Amino acid sequence: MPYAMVPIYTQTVGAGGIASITFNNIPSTYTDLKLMASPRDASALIGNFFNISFNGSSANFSARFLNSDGSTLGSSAAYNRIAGEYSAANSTANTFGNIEIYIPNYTSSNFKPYIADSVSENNATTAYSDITAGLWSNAAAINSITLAANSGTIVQYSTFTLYGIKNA
Amino acid sequence: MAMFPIASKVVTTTGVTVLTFDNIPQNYTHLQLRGFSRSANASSTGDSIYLGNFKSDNTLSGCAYHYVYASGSGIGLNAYTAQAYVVAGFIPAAQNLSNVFAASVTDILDYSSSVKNKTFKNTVGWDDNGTTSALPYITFGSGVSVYLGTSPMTSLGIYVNNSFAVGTRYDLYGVMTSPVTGA
Repeated sequence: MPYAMVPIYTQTVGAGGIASITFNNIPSTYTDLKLMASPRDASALIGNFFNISFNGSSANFSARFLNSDGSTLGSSAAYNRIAGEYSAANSTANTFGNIEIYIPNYTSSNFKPYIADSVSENNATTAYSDITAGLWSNAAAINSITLAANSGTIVQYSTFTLYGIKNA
Repeated sequence: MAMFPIASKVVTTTGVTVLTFDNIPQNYTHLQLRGFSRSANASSTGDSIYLGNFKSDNTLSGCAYHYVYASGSGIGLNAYTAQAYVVAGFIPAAQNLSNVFAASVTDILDYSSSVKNKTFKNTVGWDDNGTTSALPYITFGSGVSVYLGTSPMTSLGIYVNNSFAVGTRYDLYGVMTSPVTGA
């Protein structure tokens, strides 16, 4: 019986941290992709966010998000590659974000939409939650995905898993 | 295959105030809790759903949570610290339209880690076809248990004001990862 959801790749950040993670050579045999991440950042912030790239390209992206910082609700299209907010160094120690990014029809010849929902946590008023809808205006099939910290370094123990979703 | 059913809790009698997943296997990487729930509280149209008891010791303490919501009354957000539970969201109660239950999904990543606090991501919501003006609710938010800290999560309790309605169900799934990095 075929499986609907299969883990393709997992990366765990080692000592010293890293500025970005990339999944290369993504198989074209699935219908959709799902990326789940548990990251933390070394930046002197309560929360940081990822910029997403496909196939090594950061061109032709647009995005809109709805977000909360614990005090204020907002919406913006100012960050065209945003793909999830997560905890950073000024948040409660050892606390990591929780992000899910969904990319349907990643091999089609249509433009590529993605949605991301993400939370950071913090034992204080300020914590971030985001829902994002983004678009890569490119007809190419996606064969690699990069998540780059908007600033700073993704710290040790951050984890990222890419899943393939297969339809009937 | 990535996702495996661990256990299900179904309410078949009245008076059930808590559903607990005990002895959670530690061989998965992430957990996902999916819910179909309603409160039996005859004095209310909606109740909070709480998550707690993450350490198999029935201690309810040291939680922070944040959420955004939209309801019939408008939109808003809340932030709480030093709470006994993580509030995951709101579910319909007995004064609400019959047969209406809330849907929910909670993701808990790296739940068995010994170096990370466990951040919950919760989505809970329902609609009641215009039955109530102030409700229903959709919430999206997060939680963390400072009390659990970096200890592995071995249990998960789901609480409600009053009791759960018969027919309430929660399913716990384990999610695996890949040994291949793709780097």
